[in-house]
Amino acid sequence: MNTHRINDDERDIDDLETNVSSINSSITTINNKLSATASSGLKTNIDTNSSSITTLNSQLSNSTSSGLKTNIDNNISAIASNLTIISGHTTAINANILGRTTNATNIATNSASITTLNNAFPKETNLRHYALNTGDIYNDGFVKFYWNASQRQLMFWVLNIPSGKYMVGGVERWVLTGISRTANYISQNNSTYYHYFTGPQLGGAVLNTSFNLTSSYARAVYFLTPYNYSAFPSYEIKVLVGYSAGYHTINIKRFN
Amino acid sequence: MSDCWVIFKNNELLFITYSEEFANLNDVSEDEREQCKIFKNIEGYEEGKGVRLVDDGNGNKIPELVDLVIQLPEIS
Repeated sequence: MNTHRINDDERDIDDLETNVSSINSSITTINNKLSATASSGLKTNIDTNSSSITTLNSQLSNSTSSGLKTNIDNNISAIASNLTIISGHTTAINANILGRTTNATNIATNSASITTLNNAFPKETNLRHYALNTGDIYNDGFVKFYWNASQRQLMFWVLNIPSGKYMVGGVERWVLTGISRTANYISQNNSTYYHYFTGPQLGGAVLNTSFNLTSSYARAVYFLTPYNYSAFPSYEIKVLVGYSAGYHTINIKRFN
Repeated sequence: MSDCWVIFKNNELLFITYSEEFANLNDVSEDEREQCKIFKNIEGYEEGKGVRLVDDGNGNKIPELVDLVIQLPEIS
């Protein structure tokens, strides 16, 4: 028996209409949301990120396949090995530093020995010089010696002595059986001209021709030394003459 | 090759020098300087050779290379 009545049908229809209205409202809401997500580029961003994720996954896959981790592990091993080598070098460097200290001590000792030897043994310079050749024959920074070929005499120039200090000196000339000698104070301060060894030369070079080495078979010995000053060398110069216009043998001995 | 100055006195070799600073007559007394002449780079001259000044026929003095005669020492 059908108990459904007309009033019931109408009520059902009303309910359906209410439901339809609710469904439409929900559809509208969903559409609005869909519309909003589209306008904000959400899907585009999601698509882009998906692409990035794909790329990253690919790169990660490549790095794994290319042995990146293996390389890193190997480098760590190499670095450890290098650290060991560096440690060895550090040991060697320390040993060298110790060696240098020892060497410095030895050098200081040797320098003292050299100074002792320099004082014990004078420095000698030997040369052959053509009698007619005028020019400087020696320069050690303290004095320079000059062979005056026109007069056949040795001359000197003081290069580096404190102001006021005197140099004294002289010459002995031996020709055949005759010997002549002279000595005096012969310069003061650094020189401004070449001095002869043959007497006071304080106002200019004063020539004494009796000491010219113009004879064969002769010998002359010059000396030059500070009057009273210890920090300047002394010199003894021998000139041996065979032929008067030939080659002379000259020996320059420097003390200190 | 360095320059060479040859200085003559009374036509005979007085001295030579290879230093320009000495190529002068400072070492010759003033009254003798008129008798001196200075020549630079005489062709053919070298240390140890003889050289003197001779008249070229026109009154000019020119250097002439000569063999250097060295007297032997007298042995008694």
